[in-house]
Amino acid sequence: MFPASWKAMLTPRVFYQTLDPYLTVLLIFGVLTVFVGCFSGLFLVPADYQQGDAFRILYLHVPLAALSMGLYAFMVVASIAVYVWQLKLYDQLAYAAASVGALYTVLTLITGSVWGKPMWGTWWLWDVRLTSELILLFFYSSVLLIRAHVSDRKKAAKTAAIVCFLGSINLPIIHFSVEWWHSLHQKSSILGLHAPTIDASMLWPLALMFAGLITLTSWLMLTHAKGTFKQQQKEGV
Amino acid sequence: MHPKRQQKITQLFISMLCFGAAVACLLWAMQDSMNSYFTPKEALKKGKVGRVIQLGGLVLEGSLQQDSKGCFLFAVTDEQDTLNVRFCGLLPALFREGQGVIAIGPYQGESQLIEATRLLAKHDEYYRPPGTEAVQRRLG
Repeated sequence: MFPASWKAMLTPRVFYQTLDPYLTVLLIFGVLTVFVGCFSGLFLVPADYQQGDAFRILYLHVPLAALSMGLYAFMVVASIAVYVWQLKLYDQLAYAAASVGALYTVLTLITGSVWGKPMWGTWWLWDVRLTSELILLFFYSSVLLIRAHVSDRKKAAKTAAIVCFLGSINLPIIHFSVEWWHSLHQKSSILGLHAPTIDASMLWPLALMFAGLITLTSWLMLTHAKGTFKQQQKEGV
Repeated sequence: MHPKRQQKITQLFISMLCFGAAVACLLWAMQDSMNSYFTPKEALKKGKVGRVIQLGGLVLEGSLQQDSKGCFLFAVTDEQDTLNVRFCGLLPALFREGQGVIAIGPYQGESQLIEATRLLAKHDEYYRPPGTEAVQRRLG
């Protein structure tokens, strides 16, 4: 009934088999590109006219922040597949997205804080942008806690999916917080509906970081999901 | 499609719509709390005398002075209204005239000085190397 390519998208076993040969390439490309991106950002671009060298943390903070939200969006889509169609593969992928996404959210908050102290004059402020990102972390944590403590696989998957849906309201809030309200955090430089406000001479390492981090994230998620799959096979769930 | 699945999709869609509307209403109602600062115009309209306010705007060009005690006096403007601030402490690294700032202190009313206990520098989303034409334009 299903052509071969469909099966790869629906069945765990076929999915992981199809993607297995690419895992090493993803890892190597990801690590190399991130390394080159970081190196470029640190040493090859000029300092900012007002922030000086402190702005360089942008090359970590921005891709991490973008992915912390992107992974949540991915988790929402995967959770729909779990909630409506009970597809195990997407439960594994949603779990992977939650784990990696939570990590990126923590790193976003840390890099942001380190950037904020010298630039704004504070490590933290209960500002909309910052607080909503923290709330994202709470939703990620809830999803992970549900999976860790609900023993019935199917129930865990469904509950995690529902919590994920509830938290999805937060995504437009985080993104538009700097437009809808007065925020200490500056407006979007690249993901707004306008030309980038970053000078071209400083923009290219950011593109490298995005490419590298997305590739690395794919490797992380596939490895994590495959691990969950093997675990579930062993447990016979 | 399987009728139960169709039902689930519809339920999910409608629930999220309602939940989204509820959250939107909540956010609309708590607007003032969501803001990290009031602009001078908003402060004049909504500020409560004696309450601590977070005043945000640009440091008015030419307004920065230092008084006899070493405290800084400057005006915060949103290009429509202006409020004066006094701050006795270390200025944030990015603080300068024409730059964004948030001053935290008790609001004393129209054309009254705000004794700021804390200053936060706010910068915009423009990143430029020093000395470029765009920078010259922005710095006046």
